[in-house]
Amino acid sequence: MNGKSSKLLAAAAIVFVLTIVFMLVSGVSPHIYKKSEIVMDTVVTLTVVADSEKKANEAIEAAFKELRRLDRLLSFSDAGSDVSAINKNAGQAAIKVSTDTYELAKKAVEVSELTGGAFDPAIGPAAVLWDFKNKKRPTGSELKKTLPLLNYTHIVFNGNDTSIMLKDKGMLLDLGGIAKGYAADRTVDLLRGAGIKAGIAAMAGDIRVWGTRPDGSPWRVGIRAPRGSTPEDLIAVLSLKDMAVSTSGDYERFFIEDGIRYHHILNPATGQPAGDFQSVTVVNPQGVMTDALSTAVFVMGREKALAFIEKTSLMAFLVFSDGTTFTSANLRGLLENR
Amino acid sequence: MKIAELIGQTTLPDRALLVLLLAVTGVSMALVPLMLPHGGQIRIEVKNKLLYKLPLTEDKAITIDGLTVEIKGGKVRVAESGCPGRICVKQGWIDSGAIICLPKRVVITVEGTSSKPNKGVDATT
Repeated sequence: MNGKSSKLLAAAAIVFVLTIVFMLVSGVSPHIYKKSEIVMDTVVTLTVVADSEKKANEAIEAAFKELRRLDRLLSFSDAGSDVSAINKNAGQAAIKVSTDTYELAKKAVEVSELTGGAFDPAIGPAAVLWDFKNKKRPTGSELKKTLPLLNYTHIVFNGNDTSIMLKDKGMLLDLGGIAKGYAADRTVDLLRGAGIKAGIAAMAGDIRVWGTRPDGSPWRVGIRAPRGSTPEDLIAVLSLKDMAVSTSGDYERFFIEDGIRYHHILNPATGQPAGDFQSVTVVNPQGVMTDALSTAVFVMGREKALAFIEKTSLMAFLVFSDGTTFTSANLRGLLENR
Repeated sequence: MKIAELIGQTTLPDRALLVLLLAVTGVSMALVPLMLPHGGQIRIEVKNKLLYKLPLTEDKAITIDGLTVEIKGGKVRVAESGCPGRICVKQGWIDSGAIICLPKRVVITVEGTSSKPNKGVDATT
């Protein structure tokens, strides 16, 4: 064999070796696996980065099982849940509940205190009067009667036996404004514990990401355009690592009557839909916080919301009723407008 | 130096080895993707129970609880839903990911195809 032909052979051998290495690496390198189910009355999509489909599926199934368990405890509508037991005994008895329910209700009240009542887990009596599916709204007098019941300070906790009591008859605890964020946190804990190093737990718009994409880049989370023609229309995109994000929007459950949009984000001070915003997006390391705070900031209205964001250094993206937007300074590096 | 000249200077065993290496490379490039998980299956779950597993390659239309699911040309869509928002219908044709009808609790997932991010995002809030 002469020198030139050996060069040719060497080149062919290098191409061959590189091809095999590339094939092996792409065959065993981590892949993204996704599964969606309907849990907690919403679409839950779990995305995990794993090096085998089997490992991914096992972890995802365990996570969905945990989510169904949490749903059975925290559901407002399920007659067998902890929350229903507390509500049935309002004004009568304290009910011993699971640690999850107890801790979450405590957290909900903490957020109520932090936000001056803009978030209130005692919103239940007003919420049940609104029927967005059948476009029915309560009368002013119906709402007025419920207002004294919308009072988180009348939720009584007893840490000795993890029991909760609602002081007044007719009060209704509703953890719907915080449970999905909490569920996202629990899901990430569980999946991390199962050895999944990266992924996304998305309880509809309450999302927590951990780790990075397989290529090392941050996860990209789109923020829905509130007046977009489809849910895929985006107003902005966030690049996130180890963060949670939630959006509260007036487009999720609503009806329009005489040109007025009636939506599901109710102000606990009035029992009426809150004004000033089309949507509020909040970013924070904890899902339990983003879920509750996105609602709270929405309820606060423009001036109070901007002051609260400033005071607490909250990462937030606001879409006002006129379609204009505000991005907090600490979120600008993570957000790109569409 | 031209490739033809270079090849002209090689011996028969050189050429045999070259052909063998190129052949193995070519065959692996063709075979490995086939051995990896690959597309084409639709899962239809109703109330978290798996009702259908259908190949994406076979054109078909089925109706489940007033929801018409159409498979055509390797894509799937909900052609009609009968629910008020019709979000699943508006989503149109997909060849990866999932279509979800919340009111009827139907989840249609395209399995096996590599997960293509929607408009470059991994999730939407």
